[in-house]
Amino acid sequence: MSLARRLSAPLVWALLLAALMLLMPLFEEVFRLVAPDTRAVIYQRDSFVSLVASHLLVVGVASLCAIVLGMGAAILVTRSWGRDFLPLVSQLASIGQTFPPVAVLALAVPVLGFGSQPTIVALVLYGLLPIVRNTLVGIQGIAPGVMESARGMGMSGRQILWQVELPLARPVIVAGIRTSVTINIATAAIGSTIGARTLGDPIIAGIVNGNTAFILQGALLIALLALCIDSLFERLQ
Amino acid sequence: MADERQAAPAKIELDAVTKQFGDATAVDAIRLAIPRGELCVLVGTSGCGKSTTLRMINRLIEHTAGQIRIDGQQIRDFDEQRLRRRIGYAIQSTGLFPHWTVARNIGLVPRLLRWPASRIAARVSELLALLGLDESEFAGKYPHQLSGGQAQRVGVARALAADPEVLLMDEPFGALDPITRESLQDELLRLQSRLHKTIVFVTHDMDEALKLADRIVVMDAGRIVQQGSAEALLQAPANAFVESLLGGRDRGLKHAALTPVAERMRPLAGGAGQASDTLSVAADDSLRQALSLMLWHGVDSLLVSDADGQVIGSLSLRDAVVARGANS
Repeated sequence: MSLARRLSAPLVWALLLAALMLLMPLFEEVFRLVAPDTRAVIYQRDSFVSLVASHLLVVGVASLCAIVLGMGAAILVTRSWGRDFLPLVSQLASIGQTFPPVAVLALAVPVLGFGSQPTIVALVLYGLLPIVRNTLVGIQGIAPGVMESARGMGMSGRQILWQVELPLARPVIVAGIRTSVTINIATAAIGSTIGARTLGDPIIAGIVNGNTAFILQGALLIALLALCIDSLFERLQ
Repeated sequence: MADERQAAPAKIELDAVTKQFGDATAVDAIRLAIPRGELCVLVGTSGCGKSTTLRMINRLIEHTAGQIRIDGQQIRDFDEQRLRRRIGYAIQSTGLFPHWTVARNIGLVPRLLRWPASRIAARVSELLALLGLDESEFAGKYPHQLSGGQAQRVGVARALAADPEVLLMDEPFGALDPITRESLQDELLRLQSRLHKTIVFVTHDMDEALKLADRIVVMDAGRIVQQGSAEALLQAPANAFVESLLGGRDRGLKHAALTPVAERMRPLAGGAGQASDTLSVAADDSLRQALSLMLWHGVDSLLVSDADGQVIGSLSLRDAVVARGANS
C-alpha cells in the first residue's frame, strides 16, 4: 500500500477536525437549530484550537505515563525473576479500570489540587489495564519453542526481549495502546469538572447554561479527535 | 575400554548426573561418555528423562548433582550464554523466529558472536547449499512460508551456523510425515559423514535410533537401562523393556533393516549384465527391503546390482535368512 493510501483515512478525519476547529463560527446557523433560544450559539470563552491542543496534551502525557508504566510492569512480571508479581500486577491493573474516573478525580483533588494533574492521574490509572493486559498476552502468547530456541542459541535476556519478545508482541501491544488512548480521549473531558482545560469545557458550560449547541460542539470535536487518533493507530498495527 | 578413553578423551561426559524437580527425580545419577564425532541417540518413552538429560548439556536445565564436562571442562564453569553459542540446538517445533527471514534465522548465532556481516552472509549461503535449499528461493522467505521438512532443514542449518563441535537435537524429526522424516534422517547421516560432529539426539522412535545411532542409550525412569551399538542391542537386549522397545517379535526385521544386502550376497563369477529386471536390489539396500521384494513377488532369489545398475551378485532367501558360516 502506498503511503498516501495508508494515511488517507486519518487524513480525512484530521481535515474534518481542523475544519470544525477553525471554522466553527461558519456553522452558526446549523447550531442555532438545536439551541434556538440562546444568545451565543458558538462557544467563545476559549478558542477551539487551544482547547484541542490542551486536551491532546492531557491525553498525551497521561498515555505516555500509562505506556511506560503498563509496558514496564508487564515486562517485569514476565521475566523469570519477576514472575511472582504477575498476579498482583494483573489485579492492580484490573482494579484501576473498575474504579470510575470520576471517583479518582474526587480522591485526587484533595492531594493534587484542581487542574490537569489529578485528571492525568485518573487517566493514567484508567488507561493502564488495556496496555498491561495486552503486553502480557502478547509476550505470553509467543510460541514456547521460539523462546526455548532463543535461549538455547545463547541470546541474553535483553536480546530476547528486544529482538524476539517485543517485535512478536508488537501488534497486540499496539492494539492495547490504541484502546487505552481512544478511551482516554473521551474520558479526559470529565477533567473539565475540576478545572483542567479540555474539550469538556464547552460541554460543562452547555450543561450549566442549558445550551445544547455548546455540548454538541465539544462532543463533535472529541469524537473527531478520537476517530483521527484511532485511525492513525489502525495504520500503525 | 579405559585406555581408549585416555587416548581420545570423551567430548561430552556425564558423571553421576542427577536432576530433581522438587521431590521427583527426573534423571538419576546417570553416567555417559560420548566420544568426539559420535552420534549418540537417547531413546525411551516419554517422561524417561531423555529430554531433560539433553537440556542439561546446554544448561537450559541446571543439573542438581554430579558433573557434566565438555572437553574435560565442567559446563558450570562457562558463562551460560557463551556455552550455548558453542553448542548447536535443534528442536521438534524448529523454534524459528517467525518475524525473521530464513537467512536471518540461520545467521542468528554468528551474529551473536559478532561475525562481520560478509562472513555471516557467506556462511548462510554455504549452509543453505549444504541443506539442499536453493538460496535464491529460500533466503528471503519467512518460516510460515516453509513446509515442515523445509523448516526443519532451516532449523538444522541454524544449529550448525557457527560450526559448533557439539549438536543437540531434541526429537527434530518427530513432527514430520514418514517420507520427509526418512529423507531428513538420510540427510543427517550424509551431513554427519562429512562434518563428524558430536551429536546427542533424542527420540522416542526406536527405528530412528537404530537407523541413525553410533550408540544407542536406552533410558527408563531417569536411568540408563542399556547402551551400545544398534547391533549389540538387537543381539542382546538387557531386559524386557529394551526388548519391547525393539519391537519384540519384529526384532528380526529391524535387524534385517540394519544389514546391507552386500553383506549376504553371493558375488557373480562372470557374465555380469545390466539389471533391467524389477527383481533386483541394490547392494546397499537393506536385507529387509530384499525380503520384502521376495515376499511381494513370491520369489526366493534376487539379483543384486551396484550403483551403476550392473549385476554384481545374487541373493537367495536362504542367504538372506541365515548368515554364512553361522549354520550349515
